[in-house]
This record gives sequence, C-alpha cells and structure tokens, in this order.
Amino acid sequence: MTEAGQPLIQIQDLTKVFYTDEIETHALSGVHLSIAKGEYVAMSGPSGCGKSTLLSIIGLLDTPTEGKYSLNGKTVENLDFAERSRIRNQEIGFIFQSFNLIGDLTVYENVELPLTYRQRMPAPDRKKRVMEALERVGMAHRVRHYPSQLSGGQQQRVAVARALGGKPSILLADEPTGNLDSRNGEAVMELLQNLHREGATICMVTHDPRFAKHAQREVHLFDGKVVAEEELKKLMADVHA
Amino acid sequence: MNGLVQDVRYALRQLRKTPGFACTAIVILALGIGGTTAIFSAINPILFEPLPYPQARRIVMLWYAGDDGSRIPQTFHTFRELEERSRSLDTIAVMKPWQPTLTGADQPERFDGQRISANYFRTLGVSPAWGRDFQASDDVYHGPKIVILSNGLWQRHFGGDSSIIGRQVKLDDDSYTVIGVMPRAFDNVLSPSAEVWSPLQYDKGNISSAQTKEWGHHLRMVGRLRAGISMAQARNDLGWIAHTPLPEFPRPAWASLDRGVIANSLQDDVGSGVKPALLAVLGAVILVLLIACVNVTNLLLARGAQRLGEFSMRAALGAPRARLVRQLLTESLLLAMLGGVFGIVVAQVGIRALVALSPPELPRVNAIRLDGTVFAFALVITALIGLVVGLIPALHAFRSDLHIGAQQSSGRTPGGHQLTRRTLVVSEVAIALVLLVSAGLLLRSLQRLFAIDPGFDASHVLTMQVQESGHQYDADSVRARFFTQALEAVRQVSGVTAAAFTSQLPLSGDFETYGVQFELDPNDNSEAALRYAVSPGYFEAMRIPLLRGRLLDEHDVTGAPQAVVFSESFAKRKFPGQDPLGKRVRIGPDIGHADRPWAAIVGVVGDVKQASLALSQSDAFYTATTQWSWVDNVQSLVIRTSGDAAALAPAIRKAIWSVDRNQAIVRVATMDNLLVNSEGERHFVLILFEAFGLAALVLAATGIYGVLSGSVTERTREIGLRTALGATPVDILALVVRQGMTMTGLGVVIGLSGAAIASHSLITLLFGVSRLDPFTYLGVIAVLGFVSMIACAVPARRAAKVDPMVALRYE
Repeated sequence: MTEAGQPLIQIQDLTKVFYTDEIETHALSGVHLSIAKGEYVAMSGPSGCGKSTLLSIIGLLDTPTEGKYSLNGKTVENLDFAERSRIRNQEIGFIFQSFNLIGDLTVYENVELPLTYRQRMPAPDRKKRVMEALERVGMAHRVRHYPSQLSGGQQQRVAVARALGGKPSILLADEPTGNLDSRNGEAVMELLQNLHREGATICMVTHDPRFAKHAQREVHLFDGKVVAEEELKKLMADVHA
Repeated sequence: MNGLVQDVRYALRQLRKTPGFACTAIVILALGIGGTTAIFSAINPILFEPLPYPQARRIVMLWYAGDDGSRIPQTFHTFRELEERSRSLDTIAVMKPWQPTLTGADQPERFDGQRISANYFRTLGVSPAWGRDFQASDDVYHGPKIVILSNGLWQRHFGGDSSIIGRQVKLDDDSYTVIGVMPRAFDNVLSPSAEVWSPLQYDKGNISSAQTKEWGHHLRMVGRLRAGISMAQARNDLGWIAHTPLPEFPRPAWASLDRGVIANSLQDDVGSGVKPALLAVLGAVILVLLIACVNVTNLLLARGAQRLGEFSMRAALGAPRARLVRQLLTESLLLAMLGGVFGIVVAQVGIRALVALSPPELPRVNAIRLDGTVFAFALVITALIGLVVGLIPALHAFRSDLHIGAQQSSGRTPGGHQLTRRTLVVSEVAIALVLLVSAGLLLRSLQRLFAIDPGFDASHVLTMQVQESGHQYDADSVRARFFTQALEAVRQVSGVTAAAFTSQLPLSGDFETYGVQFELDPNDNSEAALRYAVSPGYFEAMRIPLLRGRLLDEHDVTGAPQAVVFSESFAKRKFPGQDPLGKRVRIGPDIGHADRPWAAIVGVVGDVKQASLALSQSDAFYTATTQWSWVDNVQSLVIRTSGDAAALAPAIRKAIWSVDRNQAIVRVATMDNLLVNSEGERHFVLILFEAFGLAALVLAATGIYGVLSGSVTERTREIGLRTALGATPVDILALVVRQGMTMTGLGVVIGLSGAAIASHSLITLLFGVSRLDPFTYLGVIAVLGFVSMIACAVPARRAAKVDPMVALRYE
C-alpha cells in the first residue's frame, strides 16, 4: 500500500526508443507522470502519440529505455521477468479494447485465471473473489457461459471483473470502449466511474474526448511528450494547417 | 476434366509454395510406403504368393511323424514303399544336401547341391532348359555320374557355354557328365542355394540290413498330389499305408511309421517356421504406416487451419463445398503419389537391407524383389493413403463454418481441428508404445538368450569347415593324416594358442545324433545323443570345462581302448547318483554288434548348446576322431587366438593349403558371429522392430511437437494475455508441457492395452521374458515420456518467450 501523500505511480524523465533496422523511433521522450491512489486519469492524444506505449510501461508489459518508474513506492523499471509478472498479477488489472477473454474458458474461469497464477491461494478464496468481482459488474448470472455467448458489452464487463478479481492497486484500461457501440460504451464507462467512486485507481487510454471527460484528470500526449491541453490544441491545429 | 487439371495444377502450386511442409509430408509418406512395400516384398513370396511351380498347391511335403509329433526326415526305404503304394500321389521324390568340391580350377570351390531321386524336378513341375532331366535308369546304385547345373553356375563358371551338355566336370575328384541346365527362373525353394544336382543312387536292394544309410532318417520327401485329390484324401491314403505294413516292405523299429506320415502343402511347410515372425513384422510395419498417415493427416489439418481464410474466400466466391473437398483430396492424393514414388526408392533400399540382414531360416530370399505384384501393392496403398490422409482434413473443411476465418476477438479458438489433431497424436503415441514395447520385449529376450552360457568361451575363436575331396583320401588313414598335418600347420601360425577339429560345430547349424547303447541296459536302443568326433585339444580350444575324469588326448587312437566323454546332462540322466566314469557304451554303428568292443566313459564335460541358445538339448558324447568308425571327410576347425580371431583367417587358410591346396575351406566365421547368427531370426525381427519402434518414436515426437507448435502459434495471443495477467514463464512452460504430456499420458494408457494384446503375436519369439514384463513396459513409458518432454520443450520455450505486448498489439 502507498503511504499517505505518496503517489501510486511515479514516472520521471521516461523515454522509450524503438529500433527498427537503423531507424530510431522515439515513442516517449522525457515523460513525467504521477498518479495518486484513488485517482482516475485519462490519457489521450492522437494516434501514434505514445499513449499505449506509456500504458504498457505502466502495466510492466514493456520496459523504458531510460527514466525512472516506481509503483507503490517500489522501483520497477529494472525488475526481472518473473518479478514483473508477479507485480502485474497482484498490483495491476488490465482492461483491453477487444476484451481478450479466452474463448475456451467460461466466464468464471476467465475471471479466475489471474488468481490461478498466485501461489498458495486456496480455491475457496479464489471462488469468493471471482464471484465478488462478477457481482460488482453484474455478470454473476453468466458464470457458465462462454465469451462467444455474450454480447460485446457483457464481454467487456467480464474483462473488468477479471481485472478487479485480483484486487489490484490500479486498473489500466486501453480504449475500453473501442469495440463497443455507444450504448455499451457508456455502460462500461459508468461501470468504471462506479469503481472509481468505490476507491479504485484507474488509468485509461482513450482517444474519445467524451469518455476522457469521465476522468478526474486528463493527460495529453503528443509525439511522445506530455503536453498541456492548450498546447495540444495548438499543436493539433499546426498539424492540420 | 478441366476442373481436375486445375485442381492438380493448384495442388502443385500449393506444394511449391510450402516446400517445408511438402518435403516433410513426402518424406514421412515415403518412409511409410517404402517400409511397408519392402516388408510386403519379403512376405508375399513366402506367405501369400503361390510357389513358382505349375499347380503349386498340389505339391506336398511328407515327413515321418516322431513320437512327439515332430517332423522327422524320411528313410530311403520308406520313400520306396510310399512311391510304390500311394494312390494319392502322382510323383514322389527325396533329396539330401550335397556339397561337392569342384577341383581342377585355380582354387577348389565347394558348391551347394542336392542329391535327388529321379522324380524331383518332375514333382516340382519343372524341367531343364537345356539337356534332359534325370530318368529312373540314372537313379540306380552305382549308376552313371551325371549332373544338372543351375543357370547361375552355368553362366558363372562355364560362361554360358552352349556346348556344356555332355561336358565333363570334376567334382570331388570324380568326373561327372553334365546332362542338363535348369532355367534361369527356376526357384528351388527346398534348397535355394543348390547349384548342382546329381541322382541319389541309393541301393534299393539293401532293405534287410538295418544299419545302412538307406534306413537312415536323413531324406526330405516331396510329392505331387494326383489331380483332383485333396490334402485330406492324401492324408487318409498315407495313413492307411502307414498302418498296414506289407511283408515286401519290412520296417525296422525306427522307421515303423506307427505315428503315420505328416503331410503339409509345400507352401505351408516353407513358411511355417518363419510365419509368426513375418506376421509380427508385417503388423509392425502396418503400425508404422499408420503413424506416418496420422502424422501427415495432422500436417494437413494444421495447414487446413492456416488456409481457413482461403477457403472462406473461395466459398464467398461461390465454390461449392464438394469442390473444396475435392481440391483438398487432390492435394493429398498428389502428396501420396509423390510419397509413393520416393517410397519405391526407399523400398528398393529396404529390400536390399532385408536381403542382407535376412537370417538363414528365411526361405525364398531370392524371390524378395520389387516385382509387378509389389509395385501394384505400393500403388494401392499409395492411393488409399492419399484418400485416408486427405479425408479428415477435407471433412473438417466441409464441416467448418467458413465465416470463422474472419472472426477473431474472444470467439472460441478455431480449434475443432486441434481436438482432432490431439486425438491423432494420442493415437500416434499409443501405436509407438505398442511398437516400442514389442521391440523392448524382443531386446530383453535376446539379452536373456545371450546371457545364457553356451558351454564354451566364444571369444577369440575362429572357425571354418574343411572338406576333403579326391580319391587320394578314400582311405581313412590318409584322410586322418591330412587333418593331423593341417592341424599341425595351423598350430604353427603366429597368434594361434590352440586348435582342433570337430565333426560338428556348436551353433553352426550342424546337428548330428547317433544312437548310444548302454552296457547296463543293452536291449534299450532308443537313446540318441549328439556325436562329436574331435581331435585332441578340442576341449581346451573351446574351453569346455572338464567336470570329472579326463579329456580325450593323443593316447586315444586306433587300437587303444575306446574312450568316450559324456556331457554332464547325459551322464546325470543315465547314471543318476552314480559315478559315470568307467561305465561302458556302444556308440553309433557299433550298436548291436556284439563283436565290437565297449567304449568306456573316461570323462564328463560341461553341457554345450548345439542347435540354439534357447534349446537345452544337451545329451552329447565325444569320441576321438581316430576312434570313431570312420574319419569324417568334412570337419570343422576351431582356432583359439591371442588377438583378433577374424584377422587370422587368411593365414589359417594358407596353412591348410600348404598341406593340400585342393581342399575346400568354407563357412569361415568367428565363434562370436556364430553365436549371434544362431539367433538370426530373433535378431532379424529385433532389428526390424527397433527400426520401426525408432521411426514410430520419432514420428510420435514429431506429432506432439507439431501439434504443440501449432497450438502455441494459434494461442500466441492467449499466451500473451496470460503473461499480461501475471503468468510467469514457468506457468506458461507448465501450460504447454501439461498439454503435451496429457496427450502422451492418454496415448500411453491406450497403448498399454494395445501392447498387451499385440505381444500375443510375439510369444514364439520371446525367451525368458513375459509378454507383460513390467520392466520393459516401464522402460518404454520412461523413454516415451522423456522423448515427449523433449518434443514439448521447444514449443514450450517458445511460448514462455511470448512477449506480453503481443496481447496488446492486437488492439
């Protein structure tokens, strides 16, 4: 747990460079970001601005080229693969654009999946957590269904339940409404809103300003840098000009 | 027709596009088809194809029935009686082996041949291509010295000289007139290596004297049924003759025919000894073919899954499903055809290997070849395989929802084919286990056999057979002198530590027994034992241990009291609780001759395996060469050496030829080789099963690898997701390995029952090991488990390395 006043996520001067053949692509340059516990942050910006890369680094799916990153007060940028897996499993809950449920597993099994990777977690505890999470998203009545038997909105609810099941420190949502129609999109946003109200820390990537407004704070990215909203507008205008 | 051409053209293009897949499938099919074809080529002429004689079904083998129902060679006078009295047989003939030495050439050369009664070729339904057949007037006591040559010998030795008929050849120092040459196509199944034939010329009048060769059980008898006579009728006829003796055909006790005559078709007789082994091998190779088909089916299924988008597109463009199925079947048939073409090449190589490895017991080795029947067989199985391996993927394509190609997201994995593929891999593992258990049981049997003490020390021993020929050796004393001088010359060769001659060599195929009459029970003439007429030093050269008394030595010569050494078992059985030393016996031709002196038992030596390591016929007696009734003209030389025994062969030959360079030396082999070859049939079957088991293991492992590899590829996104959700590399490794080992485990469970059933067919080949031997089964499971783990390891490692970013990259 974070100590009072200390941010849950602290990123300093973070850069990410991709090397393809002899071409260097600077996906992120000198990014500073701090997310406090219980905060709801939306990251937005045009396509290719680096928001998904930043989310991947925050979610320990990727490593920065340079810079510092501490999660829950612990420096995490240089951890080995197994330790990063453990932290992802225990501290982070992912919600993906295309739900990423496993088609061969039932709703219950999908939600249970991250918990099965935790050592020494008894089955009754897992069951309790799974059912709690499914009840929170209103999908407890569909435990035996397969993802293909659910609508897109229902699948995303299950994906949220999977992210919640592990009681993570932060939920990372990458375009969670991208594959949904507006009605289901709104429903998922409402679900995230409710979770935030209940105390969840959420970091959401979205390119839709309507959904970004749901967050407490917006972080704008442009060309791999965090910029102020006004500056973003100016830059965008320059691009279009 | 146009559509078919288009299908073939497209199938060819598909194969060119995926050369790795095409090569793998073609190689697997070629090995399967080639292996099966090669084995079929060996089995067909022995078990299925009629023998190459006119109306071959009418040819029967006629054996004297032993007390235990065993098949015993006939006597000449029994042959005469059956020839005279039988109403069911058109012709009847007898034969015995003959190994004449051709002299007068650069080097003496010994041939395999046969002494035959006049009707031999007529009974088989063949006649010489040039010259004439033997007539009854040729087959009389002291008849003309005439021979018929095989086509091979005529070509090889006489250059195919058309004036060969009437020419003289010198065999064993006698001049024989060549009266005929057999056709090139003549396949003499009763003695495949025979190249020269001469009339038997036994004495028909010598019927009242029992101690003659005419009353010896050493002739094989073959007959041809009269047209329209069934085997049952012939058996009745022969049984009636056997049980109604006539005064003009008196029979001694040992040729009384009281158990009748055993009559079998020649076809059955030729194949009966090797039939269980051949059927087991056929079963094994069919299993390998099955695994190969399963493997290729799996490859096609995997490829079908990758081409789902293509099929969706074709369906969208209006292709009927039947057309898609036909396209897939065309592709699989094309693959099978290419596999079949290369399979013929593999079969050709396999046939050569089979012939080279074939044990002496395997009949009709000359008929093992790639002929029309075998080619047709290959063609049929190729077509069948094409259909079989194509059918499952085609049906899958037929059943598949072709819209699935466009679906992604969280739909259930497009994995109906995965279940089929896993099921196929389970069956591969099960079949591999059956083959490996069979190979393991045979291996354990051979280990048990070779662990048996043969009764002598086979290491560093060279053996060869020396055959005297020529009238200068007609007298026993001259013959004995040659062998003594040859032995002295051999002992002078550097590296020789001991050497001796023996009338028969253990585990060489020699098997000669003679009667033994005991002074304590002179009226019992039923005892027979292996006879070894040996020169002094034989026991030392063979390292046969002396248990009591003394060995035969230089003092046991003509004129000295006759000394006999008994084998331990024989001595114990005949003299239980008594000291055999000093007991007296009459042996061989001396039996029943009161004027012949008794021979005294002077020693007891350890038992020696003569016919086979598996058989424990150990009643044997040893006598000095010079104290036997005659000096054998064919003797085996055993030479113990200080170093590499085989390397001394040229020097030994030279030493013998320094005494007389006209004497043939044959059957040169180390005792170690004889030991291994004595279990030739088992060894042959083991080699094949090992090869098939190994192929099955590799194919099963490839199957596991293929399925897991395909699964990992298809599940990359899922694996990435699992990693994103916190699965460690160990979790992912365990996931993939568990999947592979589950298939192996299921295969093992199914295979165990299959192996238990299949092992029934191996019972006749097993020795000292139960067909349910737990050690073998556990060993095979361990091997399969280990190989499966290796097969799992590569895809598992690949899965564990999946970048979790992959899960998001699909966004």
